[in-house]
Amino acid sequence: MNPTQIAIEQLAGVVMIADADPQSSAQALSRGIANLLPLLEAYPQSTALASGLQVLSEQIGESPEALDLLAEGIALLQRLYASNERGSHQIDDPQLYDRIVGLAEFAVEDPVETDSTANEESTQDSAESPTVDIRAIDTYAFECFTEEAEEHIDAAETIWLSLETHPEDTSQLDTLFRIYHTLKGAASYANLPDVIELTHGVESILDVVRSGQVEMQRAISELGIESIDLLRNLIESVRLALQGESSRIPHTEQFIQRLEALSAIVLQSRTDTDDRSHIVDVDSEVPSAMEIEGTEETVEERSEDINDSGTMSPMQQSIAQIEASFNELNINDLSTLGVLSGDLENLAAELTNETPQAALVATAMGKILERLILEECEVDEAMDLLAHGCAMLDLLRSSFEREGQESLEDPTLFAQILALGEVEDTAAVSAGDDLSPEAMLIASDAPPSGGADADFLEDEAYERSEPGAPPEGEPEVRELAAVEVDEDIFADFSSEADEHLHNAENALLLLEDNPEDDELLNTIFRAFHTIKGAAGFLNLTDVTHLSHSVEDVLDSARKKQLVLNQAIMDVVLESVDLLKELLQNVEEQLPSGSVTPRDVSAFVEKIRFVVANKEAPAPSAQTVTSAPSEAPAAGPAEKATANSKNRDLHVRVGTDKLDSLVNIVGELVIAQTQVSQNPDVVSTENQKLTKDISQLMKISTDLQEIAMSMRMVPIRATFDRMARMVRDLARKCDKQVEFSMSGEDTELDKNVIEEILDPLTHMVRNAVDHGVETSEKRLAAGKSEKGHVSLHAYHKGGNFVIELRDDGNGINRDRVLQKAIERGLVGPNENLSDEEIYDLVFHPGLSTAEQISDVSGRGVGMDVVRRNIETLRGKVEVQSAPGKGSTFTIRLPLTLAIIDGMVIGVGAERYILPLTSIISSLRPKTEQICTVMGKGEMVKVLDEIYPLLRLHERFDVTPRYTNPWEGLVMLIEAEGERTCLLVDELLGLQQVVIKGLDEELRQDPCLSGCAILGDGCIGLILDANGLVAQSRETSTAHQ
Amino acid sequence: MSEAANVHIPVELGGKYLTFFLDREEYGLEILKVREIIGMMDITPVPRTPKFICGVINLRGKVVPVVNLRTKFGMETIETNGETCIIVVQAEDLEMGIVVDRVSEVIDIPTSAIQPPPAFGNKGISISYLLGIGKTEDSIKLLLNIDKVLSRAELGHVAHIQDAA
Repeated sequence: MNPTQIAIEQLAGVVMIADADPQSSAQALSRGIANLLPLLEAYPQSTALASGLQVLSEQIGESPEALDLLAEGIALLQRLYASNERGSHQIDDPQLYDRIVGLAEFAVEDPVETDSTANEESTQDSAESPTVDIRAIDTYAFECFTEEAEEHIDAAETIWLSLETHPEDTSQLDTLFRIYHTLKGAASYANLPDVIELTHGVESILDVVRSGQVEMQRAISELGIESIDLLRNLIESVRLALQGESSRIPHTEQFIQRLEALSAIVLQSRTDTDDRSHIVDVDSEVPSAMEIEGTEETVEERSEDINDSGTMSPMQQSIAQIEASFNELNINDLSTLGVLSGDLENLAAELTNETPQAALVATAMGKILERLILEECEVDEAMDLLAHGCAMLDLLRSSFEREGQESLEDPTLFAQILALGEVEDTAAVSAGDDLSPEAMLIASDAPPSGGADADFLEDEAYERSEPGAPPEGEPEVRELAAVEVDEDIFADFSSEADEHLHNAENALLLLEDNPEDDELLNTIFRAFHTIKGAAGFLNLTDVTHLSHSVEDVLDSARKKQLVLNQAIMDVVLESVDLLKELLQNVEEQLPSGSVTPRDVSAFVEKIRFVVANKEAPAPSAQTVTSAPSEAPAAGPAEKATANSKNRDLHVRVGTDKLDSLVNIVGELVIAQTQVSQNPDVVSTENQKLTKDISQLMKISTDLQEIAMSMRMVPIRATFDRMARMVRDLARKCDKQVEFSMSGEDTELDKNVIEEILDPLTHMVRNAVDHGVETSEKRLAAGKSEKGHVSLHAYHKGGNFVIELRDDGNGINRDRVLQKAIERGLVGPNENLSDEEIYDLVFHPGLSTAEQISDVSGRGVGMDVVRRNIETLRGKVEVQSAPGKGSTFTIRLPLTLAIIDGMVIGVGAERYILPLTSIISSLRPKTEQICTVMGKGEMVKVLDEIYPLLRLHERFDVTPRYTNPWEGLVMLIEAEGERTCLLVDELLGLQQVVIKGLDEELRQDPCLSGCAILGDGCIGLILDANGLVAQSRETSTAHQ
Repeated sequence: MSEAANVHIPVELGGKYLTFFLDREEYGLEILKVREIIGMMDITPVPRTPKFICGVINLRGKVVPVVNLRTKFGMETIETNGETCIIVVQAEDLEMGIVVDRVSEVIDIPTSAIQPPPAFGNKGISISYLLGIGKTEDSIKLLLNIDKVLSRAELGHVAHIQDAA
């Protein structure tokens, strides 16, 4: 038994005797679980469960049920841990699990309210927990999220890539920004804090870039592309976790810190555009980034970029430096603390003249640090204030540099910092106007802690976390957003908000019946919170104001400071209605170009009144500035509509529905044909009837086409992924490769697109890795420095064709041939055409041959590529010119659902043979047929001998002809082998829709399915692979 | 006898039954299991399937396997005639057709008129195929447990036996 199991065992023991003395047992249990938690680190489910138990253990004094639940929970933990140890993750009582974990989820959120991390950008959501608590994620919401997110992420990746090559092309920035914004909104709906934080960070940077204050830089797009990968990883790991598989949530903190470092630099460089003479000392600027980033190369690159683009005043440099130090501050490292404290004092001295308030803050921060070292004050509170202090310093400084004077945004916080730092606000007299009496009161009432102040801080955090508004430059961006009430963004917001309101409303109604249900309360809170965030970004002050007040009420209810009663429920419900009205209002005004917010202060007062009347300590919504006067002028209408036209509307439909539609349409066409071919109809004199029938035929044909096309999607997404891969690979191999594509809008069946990804990836990788040479070699060969790889898609003759071209060194024909001869694949004196030789690279015998791949750079896994493509009933060919490059051509059927088949007759039965597998058909002469020992039959076709498989024997039907020279022989090929089939006749080519056979009916390997023929009867589809294998078996059996 | 013990008789067997004939025996199918009744049509045989599976039909675009109940029950086969038809039933998750001699009527059989199938001894009669026996004034109806007759296991099982043979 390992220590963890023993620890759990002990807990179980304590629970058994907990009845006797609940108080001390509770403590013992809580402590025991706290010790247990680090041991369980590797197992997220167990960890979550244990945290739930911890919360529970604190309640056992209060209720006997809690004790029972706890006992059950510990037993569950025991089993879960045991199963974790075995490598499985079986939760045998999911209900109990959810219930307990639910407790923890709530508890995790609580400390966050007062203990935001040292980074000043931390948002309410993001601080929730460093690793995703899977239980907080609703599977359905997550599914909705991923469906949407995948598309967005793909789109974003494309834009990032194009931005990387054309940084000056800013036209797509808006789209990119919107994508991140939408992702963020969706993530908050699905409750994915990591994703929110990440998208928020990128969004902030993008916002600055798109406003034109900062140029697009390599560093930004690098980071953007990285964010794409991280997002995908995050989503994938959450998905795995939801499926119960163990997976580690990737660490986003590092990335986010780098993001912040970058955004700090970007933002600051922007505030200083008038003074470009200063050179940023970048190395001191991003120390944290340096240390966090493993690959120094990228950081250096970024640093250079920043050098080019950004300049900032020395003062801001020092502030940024201190901020950076804070980000990586280790509270136990006293020497760093000391140094930092000294730095702050120096800074304060520098600041005193121009910005006395900032100086005060800096001094106070220094003092706080000192007290921290002396352990005079609480660590959490101090760190919190310090983090806010940093942000405040920055704000003060930038506001001074912009307007020539300091404008204190948050007097309360100011007072708090001074109070904790025990610094007298000497400037209070001079800057007295800035300080509200209330703040003064708090300042004198040091040290502040607990309820009310925590609320202030939290409100502060809300203000900061407004999406799109980077904290340092908030006022500036606000103005900016005020100009652009983008119709497009509003449309996104509005539909999102509708959904949230709808959810909130439902949850509220449920909550009325179950006032104790915390999950419902959380849902409602989240809805309002999200709406507030988005509205704040759109500068819809009325919406923000209202949702903020409601949120406050809900939040105190969440913290059990407020009991929800009927009156409060009513007022919250009313607010939902009012919000809907407000949104309606905005929507109506949008086309006119300006939006006047409504005055909601009366209603907000009502909320406060209701809350205050019924319950005492409700936090007031005072940090929100009710500002109906601040009417934002909407952007020009034409600008708003610029992008709205190319947005597609989609409906998601299940494939089963699509399939049955295709089925029924197919039947309609058959029925239609039967009617029109009915002798009575054919011989009719009735002109009207003939006309109507031909009209019917036209419509049903159209209908069939549409039905078929519904499964088709453009191949663009796949090509985009290739573009990305080429870029990454080229960097890795240190080659210069240009990638281009054409025909990316060509449509192909969704299934085929999914299946083609793997082989295509393989081929593109080969092209970059082995095909394209290094720059030196290229120059030496007299070619352009940059290699070129391109993908082209087009339709040709009912096929979908993908061409992959590279201008590399081509395939070494002689070496391939030599190897093939060595391996006995080709006779030494055989005269092969170039095509046949190049075709050898797909041969399985050559594929694993390392020598070949070293020399020619082709053939690694190419047999797999070919096999994959052949299962799609496609073909792949290669052409190559030594020294000039190679072209791979993939031909695919347009859809997997339809094949071109040759209908063949055997006796009364009809079978369908896929056209791709047919080589030829012939009626052999008697002398072409020979037998071995009177049994094994063979056919000699063009000097080659193939085994003959009699289909009628195989399928046990009575044929019309038993002699091959009377019937017909089909030569077919599969997996490189050929065989002959004896059939009665060919009935013609037909495109057929493939239908599966039930498992029970598909006992025969020679059948791949069936299809409905033109007359409505069913024909079986033959499987060439199966037939070839069958013929091989039969011939060996005969031997 | 051991099979008799396995026969599971639901408490409420009474209800509407569609009855049909195989030879001179009259069988009953729970009406809720019946999808539709169609006339005999072209059946495409599928190789390497159990003998009692006639093949597949095209039921408005859907491919539906068809079972010949006579073969399934080891009775002698007869030529298709005007009365032969296919009853499309829903057995478990499978939609299947069964070929019967002729469809008779839909009748209401109360639970009181249904008794469990008697034991026949070891005569190769699988009484687990029967829900029970319904008695009416003039005749008895063998109430089929169609889920059992057409279960995947039943179809697959036989298929494997035939493969091995």
